[in-house]
Amino acid sequence: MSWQSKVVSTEIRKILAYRSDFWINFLGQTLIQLFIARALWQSIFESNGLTEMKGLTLPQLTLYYLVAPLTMKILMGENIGFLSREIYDGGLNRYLVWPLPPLGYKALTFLTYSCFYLAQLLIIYSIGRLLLDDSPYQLEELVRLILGMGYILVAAIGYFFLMSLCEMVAFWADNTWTLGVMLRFVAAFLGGAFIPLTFFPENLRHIIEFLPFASMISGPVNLILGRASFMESLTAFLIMLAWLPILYFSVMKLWKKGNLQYTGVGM
Amino acid sequence: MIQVQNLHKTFKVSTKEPGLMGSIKGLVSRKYITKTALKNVSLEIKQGEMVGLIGANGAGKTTLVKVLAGIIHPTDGKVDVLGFNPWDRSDKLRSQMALIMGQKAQLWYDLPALDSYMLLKEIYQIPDVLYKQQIEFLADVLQIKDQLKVQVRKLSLGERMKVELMGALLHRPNVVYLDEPTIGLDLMAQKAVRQFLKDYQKEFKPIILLTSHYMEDIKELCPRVILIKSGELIYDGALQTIQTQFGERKKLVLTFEDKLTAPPQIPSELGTLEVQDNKLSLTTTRQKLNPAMDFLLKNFQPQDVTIQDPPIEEVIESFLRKGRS
Repeated sequence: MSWQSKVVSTEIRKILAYRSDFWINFLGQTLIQLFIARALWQSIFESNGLTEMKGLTLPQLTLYYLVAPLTMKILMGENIGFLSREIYDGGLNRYLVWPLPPLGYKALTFLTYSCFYLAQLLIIYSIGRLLLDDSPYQLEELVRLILGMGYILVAAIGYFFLMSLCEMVAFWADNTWTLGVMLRFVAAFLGGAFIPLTFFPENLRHIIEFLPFASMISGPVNLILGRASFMESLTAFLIMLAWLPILYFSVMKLWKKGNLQYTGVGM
Repeated sequence: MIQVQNLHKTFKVSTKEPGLMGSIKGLVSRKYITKTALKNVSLEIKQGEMVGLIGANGAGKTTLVKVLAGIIHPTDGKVDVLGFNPWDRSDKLRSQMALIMGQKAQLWYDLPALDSYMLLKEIYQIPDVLYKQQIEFLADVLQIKDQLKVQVRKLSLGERMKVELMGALLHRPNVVYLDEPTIGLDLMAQKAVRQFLKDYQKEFKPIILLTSHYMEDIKELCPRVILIKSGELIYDGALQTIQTQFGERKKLVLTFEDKLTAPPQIPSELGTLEVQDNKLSLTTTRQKLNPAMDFLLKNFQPQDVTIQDPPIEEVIESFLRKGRS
C-alpha cells in the first residue's frame, strides 16, 4: 500500500473517530441549512403568490439548496485552518521532516474530506430527490449525477489551491482565520451557493461566469440538477480547468516564499 | 556526520506596547526588532556520537535543531547532514532522520499509536519484517505494548512521550534530534526514556543530538556537550572537562576518627566551613585550594581527605552566566 492510500485511510479513521461529531456533521448541518433556505423561499413564494421564480419551482429551489451547500462543503474539504493552523502552532514541522511532499500530503487529507462529503451528497441528494421530485428517474439523470460528482472532485482540487493561497498568508500574518471566512463567503456568493446565479443581473452574471467560483460551484450543481446543458457544463468545466494551472503555480510560488519565513514555533 | 560552519540565523519579531492602547496602536503600526538566534555557530558531530545541547531558554538550542532538521532556513552559513543540505529537504536525508520535540506531538491525537505507525511505515517504506521487529523491540524496551491500541490523547504524558519516541525511531534513523524528550515526565518515566535512549544508541549507533533542561539527561547520556549562550557556541567538549576545569568552587572534605565537638578556627578568607559529625567540609575557590589544603593539613590530622567538584548543574549555570571569559 502506498503512503498516499495510507494517508487517505488514516484521515477516514480520524473522521470516524468520534461518533456524535460524525452524525452531526453528516446530517445536522445540512438539515439546518435546508430548513432555513426552505422557510425563506417559501415565504417569498407565498407573499408574492408565485409558483415559479426564474424558472425554478419551490421544490426545485429546495433541491438546489440541498445540493449547492453540500457542494460548497465538498469544496471546502478539511475546512478553514487546515494549513494556517499548522503554520501558526508549528504543527507543520512533522510534514517537513517526513520524506514526502508536505503540500501533497495536505492536498490528500483535504481531498479525503471532500470525498467523504461527496458520499454524503450522494446519499442526501438521493433522499431529497425521492421526497421533492416525483417525476420518474431517467438514465440522463444518472449520467449527470456521475459526471457532476467527477466535476466536483476536480473543482475541489481547484478550491484547495484557492484556500491554500489564503492559508499560506499565515507564514507572514500568523492568524488568518478571517481571511478563510471571507474567501468562503465570496466563493459561496459568487459561486451561487447563497442565491442561484440566475437571480443575478445578466451583465454581472457574464463576468462572474469567468471567475473560478461559479465554475466550481454553480457549474456542477446545474449539471447535477439538469439546469444546464452538457455543452454549458463543459464550458464551465473548461473555464475551471483553465484556472487550475494559474492557481497551482501561485500556490507553489507562495509556498516557497512562505517557507523562508517559517519559524516552526508554537504551543 | 554533521558539519556546521558559521551558521547564522536572525528573526524579525514584532513588538507591541503593553495595555489596551498598545494593542490599538499595534493595529496601525508595529515595531519590529531583529533577534539573533544563532551567531557563527560551527561544530562537527561524528556518526555514533550522542551530544548534549545546553543553554538557557531562548539561547538558540531549538533553532539550531530546527535548522539541522531542515525546518527553518538559516540566514547564513553552511550545514551538511550525512552529505545533504537539510533545507533542500531531500527525501534521502529525511528518510534517515528523526525529530522528537517534547512539546509537540508528531502522532495523531485522535488515533491509537499503532494507526499512526502504519502510516509511518508507508511514509518511510519500512519493510514488513523490519516493521514488526522494530515494533516488538521498541514496545518491549519502552514497556508500552498495552498502550499501542489506545487513542494517543488518552495516554498519560509519559506514555505519550514513549509512543512518540517509538514512532520517531521505527525507521531506524541515522540522525536523531531530541528536543526536551523528558519534559514534564515523572522520575520513573524520565529514567525509562534515558535507559531506552542509551540502549538504542548502543544498538544502532545513530548521531543523537539532545537538548534538555534536565542535567540528569545530559549527565547520563552525553559524554560531549555543546553550550550555547545568546546564539553563540561557548563550549564544545567533554562534560567532565567543564566540571574539572571550569568549576570555580571546590569542596575539601576531611574525615576524622572522632566526632568534632567544636568548630575549628579557620581563616574566613580560605572559604566557608561546615561541620557534621566527624566530617569537616571547606568550600573554597579553585585559586585558594592549595593554601586551604596546606592550612588544613598543617593544623589537623584527618583520617581521610577528598576534593569534590561542585554539582555539574552549578558549574554549567555559572559557565553560562559568565560565558567563555
